[in-house]
Amino acid sequence: MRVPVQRETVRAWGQTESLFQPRRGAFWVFVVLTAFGTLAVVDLVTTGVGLSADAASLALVLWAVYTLPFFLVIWRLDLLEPEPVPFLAAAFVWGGVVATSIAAVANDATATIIAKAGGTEFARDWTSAIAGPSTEEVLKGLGVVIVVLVASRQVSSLVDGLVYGATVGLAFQVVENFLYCIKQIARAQFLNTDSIDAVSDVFVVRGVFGGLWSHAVYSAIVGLGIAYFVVRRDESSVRRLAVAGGLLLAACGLHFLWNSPWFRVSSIDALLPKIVVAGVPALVLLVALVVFARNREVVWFEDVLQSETGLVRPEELASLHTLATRRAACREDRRRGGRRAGRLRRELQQAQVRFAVALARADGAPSSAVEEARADVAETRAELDGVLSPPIPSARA
Amino acid sequence: MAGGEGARLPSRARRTVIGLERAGLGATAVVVCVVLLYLVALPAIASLLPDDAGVGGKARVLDPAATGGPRITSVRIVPASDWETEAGNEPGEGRLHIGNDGAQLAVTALGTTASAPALLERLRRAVVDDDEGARFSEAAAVQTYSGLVGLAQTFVMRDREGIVAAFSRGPTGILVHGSWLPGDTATSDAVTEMVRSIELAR
Repeated sequence: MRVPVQRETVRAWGQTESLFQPRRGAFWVFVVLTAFGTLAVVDLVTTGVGLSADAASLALVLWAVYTLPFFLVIWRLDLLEPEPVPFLAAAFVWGGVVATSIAAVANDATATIIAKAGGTEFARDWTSAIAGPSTEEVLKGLGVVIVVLVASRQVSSLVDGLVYGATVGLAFQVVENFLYCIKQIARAQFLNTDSIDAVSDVFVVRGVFGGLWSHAVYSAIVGLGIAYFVVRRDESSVRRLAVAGGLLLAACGLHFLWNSPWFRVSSIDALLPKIVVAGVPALVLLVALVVFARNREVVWFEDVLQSETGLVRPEELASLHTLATRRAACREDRRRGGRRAGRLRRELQQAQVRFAVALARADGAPSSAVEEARADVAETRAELDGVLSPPIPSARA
Repeated sequence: MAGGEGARLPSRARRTVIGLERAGLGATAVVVCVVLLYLVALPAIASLLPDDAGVGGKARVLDPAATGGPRITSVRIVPASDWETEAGNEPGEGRLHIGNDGAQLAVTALGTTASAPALLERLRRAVVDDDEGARFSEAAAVQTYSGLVGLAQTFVMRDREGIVAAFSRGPTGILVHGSWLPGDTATSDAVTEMVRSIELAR
């Protein structure tokens, strides 16, 4: 098997391709599976709306609102080279439509196999711990693989893999939770209990208490492993495969732990030990991987801008690395020159990032995009300098 | 050919007969194989494995004729995968009694023209006989996947929760009595699914 790869030692950072790639087989696999998944998910959603339009609408609104802040956090993970919206949308569609619909079939089949092979008692205790990780982590990971196969330049750094993995996982998480609400609405209708309460219960348990260490985190870990395999061509295939496989196993292990009967709880009070033992470690691992991946991406960013000290001063370059240092720079300018100065600093930072990406894409060739970005930086800088150091009025007799 | 004889085109430029780029096709094939594994192979393996332990997944046919009814209609139900038949009952006798870890479900097919409310009252009395303090929800209309409409009530006893449901169509009546340990929502889900799988078959 040969995967199209981007050497991290060759400049792929900042490059982009179109999502529409009709000459690539992976594009058509994505199209066909999206059509299949959409039909399956729409069928389930229609069923839920038919049962109780109010409760289904509440579930839809709750999970849509829930998605937004998480998506913004994921999007901002790649401060230096934000991923293009069409590819993020494709990753979201894979997670929410393709992976969920295939997982529904695979999980049912796995549950039956476990029951038949292991007996009823074993199946009752272990089905969700075995079926969930073994099907869902792989299916979500395939979403990142598809992005690589459709447009390999989109995954040019470890952070890219992390962002696409987290996006796939977030979509899987919210659509799965929405479908779980539909199931509970059906149950409530059948048992003549309150459908709205059923939706609220699912939201509290799966969104509030289980949301931070769920699919988005597992898939971000898997996505980083796939990106490692794709971009780290300076290392041996065995090592790259070991890292990618190791991170997949880690995600499966964390998912297994969360679903295992060791931490099965019947009340919200009992969730705390489960969160501490099976949830927090996943988040800690992800944070460590984010720090590692960002440090590598900074190297590319600085490489692109190192000869542009007139437009991006060394201290500004350093402050662009993290959200915290960016905000600190904005606060400092606001203190010195008021709110307008703070706003201009933020605009300058955004213009400098766009400039870096334009430079990387041009790769030394003449480019109108580079010139526009250059002019944008220069103009914003002049405006900021004017606010921070207003010209002294000339004294007149 | 540009580049001279034997020169290879860049991988992105080499195409298959249908115009697809050869680069990445192997990996795409692996993706397709994994998807097929989950969509086709796993369900096939699941259906091929022998089912010795439980009754799960297989439709059970209950014969109302065994309880005095006409042999016109039979009742089908699909038990959940991890439930087992309780000792001393035969589906062919018109009654299916299955259990799983303290939970029980009994489905009886009757030859009767009694209405669903009358059958439900019969089930209610049986629950109250067990526990005079049993509390019931309002009776509500329920519908199975096959469109069979009946009545159901949930109940709470001293040490159990459960559901009773009754269906009536023509000369066939169906009585359902399920119970489980308090708070066991997974089991109540499973019971609900099984009740919804009930259908009449000629």
